[in-house]
Amino acid sequence: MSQTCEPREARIYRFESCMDTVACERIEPELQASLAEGEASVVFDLAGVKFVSSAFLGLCVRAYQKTCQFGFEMINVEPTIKRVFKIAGLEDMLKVR
Amino acid sequence: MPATAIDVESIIEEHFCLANAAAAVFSQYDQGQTDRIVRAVYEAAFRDRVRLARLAHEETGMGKWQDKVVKNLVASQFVYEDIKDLKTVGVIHEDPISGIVEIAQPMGPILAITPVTNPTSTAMFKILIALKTRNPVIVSPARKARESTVETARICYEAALAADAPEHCIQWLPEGSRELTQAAMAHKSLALILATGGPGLVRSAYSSGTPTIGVGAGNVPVYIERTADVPFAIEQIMASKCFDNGTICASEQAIVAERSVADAVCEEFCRRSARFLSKEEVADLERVAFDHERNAMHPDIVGQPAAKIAAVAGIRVPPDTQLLIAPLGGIGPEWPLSSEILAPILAWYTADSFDDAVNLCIDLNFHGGMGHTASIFSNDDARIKQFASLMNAGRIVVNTPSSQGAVGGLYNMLHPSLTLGCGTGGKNITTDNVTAQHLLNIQRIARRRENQRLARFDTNLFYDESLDPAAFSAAFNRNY
Repeated sequence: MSQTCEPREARIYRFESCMDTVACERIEPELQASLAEGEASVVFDLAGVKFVSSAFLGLCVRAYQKTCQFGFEMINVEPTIKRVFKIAGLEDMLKVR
Repeated sequence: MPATAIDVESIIEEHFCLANAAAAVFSQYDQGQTDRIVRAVYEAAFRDRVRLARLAHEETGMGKWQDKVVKNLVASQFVYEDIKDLKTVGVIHEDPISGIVEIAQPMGPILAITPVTNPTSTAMFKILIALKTRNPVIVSPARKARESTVETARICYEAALAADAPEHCIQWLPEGSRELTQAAMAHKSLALILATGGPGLVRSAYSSGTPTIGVGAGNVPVYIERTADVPFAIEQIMASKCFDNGTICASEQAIVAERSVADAVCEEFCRRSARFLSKEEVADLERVAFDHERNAMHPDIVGQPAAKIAAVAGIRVPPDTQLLIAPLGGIGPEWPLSSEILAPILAWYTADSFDDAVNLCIDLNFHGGMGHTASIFSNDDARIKQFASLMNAGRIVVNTPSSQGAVGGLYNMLHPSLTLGCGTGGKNITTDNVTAQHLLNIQRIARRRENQRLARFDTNLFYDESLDPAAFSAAFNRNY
């Protein structure tokens, strides 16, 4: 996982191609700490992400709950991954683009 | 005059009393007798296809009579050709090695609910598949298509009787009333409901407690991929979306064109009398095409010509306009024309890439059209397969007009059907094009074929808790 800030100060997080349970467990403490720090909107950039586990869906929901007051969206989501969020019924809430 | 509560009960009771007798007599018929009846009914329906199409058009004011002739042709000729050689009586399959013998039994009385958009063709289709499986059928006409539906049923019944079918093997409810249909749906003698109609009707059928084969709503996305043959694609789409003024639920609802071909697509549509609307015109069209109270298309525009709809909306178009195309900024409730509209109206989107296009199609597909049909124009086999695997659709038609393609028999080898299953996404039990084989109870004779491994297996090991699955499997399969 990597994080950058754009000029408008959105916090952008990028992820590995395989977001399985192990990957999620590895990044979640750092991610949650980072999310707790700022008050800017949050963008999860899923470019290149090919697999998401249920752990990642949970991670996204928790991230949304923590940051939705500032704005939360997911961008560059490939069709195979978009379909996962659609089937899970999370697409609208997480603003999957 | 509408039927009273007492009338409803007595009318339904009488219909089912007669249907039960027909079912009993029908159960004695062999394959040859059954097939002769089906042939006679098909020939009668085929002979009257034009008259019935005109009658349906005059009565409903929807679509085009010439296209309704084609629907009647599919529902008689094509359906007959598809089912005529199907074994539906007695032993239909026997496998001496497995020892399994399959015997086809009729289900019993079937309630055939027919829609206002395709009244005569759906009645022909359901009668043919019911008779082929020796099931008596009670036709429930749509309120606004009663005369044409009943006339279709009457013609079929007379032909069936002339071919020695059981009396009352085809009946019809005297009026298209909700009370009669609901009473029929809940009757204890009813074996199956073939429910073709809107979501409310299909839900009501499921709630009746009687087994139901229903259909789902469509919202068909059409992806024009960059390798598509654009003039060919637009010709096919026009032929499909304008067919019977868009009354088929599998008709195209939205075009998603890849940016690299979008200009060519626009040009080709315009050349073929389609009209792209401005932002203001889209708003005007939304007001007449979508009923916000019902959260669905407005019934008054269903099956109407494009120029007439434009006139009602106050949009000036040339009188020969065939299709209205609405460029939209999104998908969902804020964009009413992104929903299913059974009229010559299409939503329009462009996409920068394959991924963007497929994401748009997923959104359209999930916006009221799950399980139904999706369409792609492409010459890239890998992308066709990728697109198909991401759609929640029972039918993914390729380089094909989707109205006629999804119905089957004309442009592909799908079973010709006027009842398109939409799978669990559309709250249906099947994604198949429903046909005669869905109307049978299949019995299976299972002859003794001992499991040799079990016969020589030490059954005491069943109770040995120290055995893990691998050890158990190794013991079970030893020397096998």
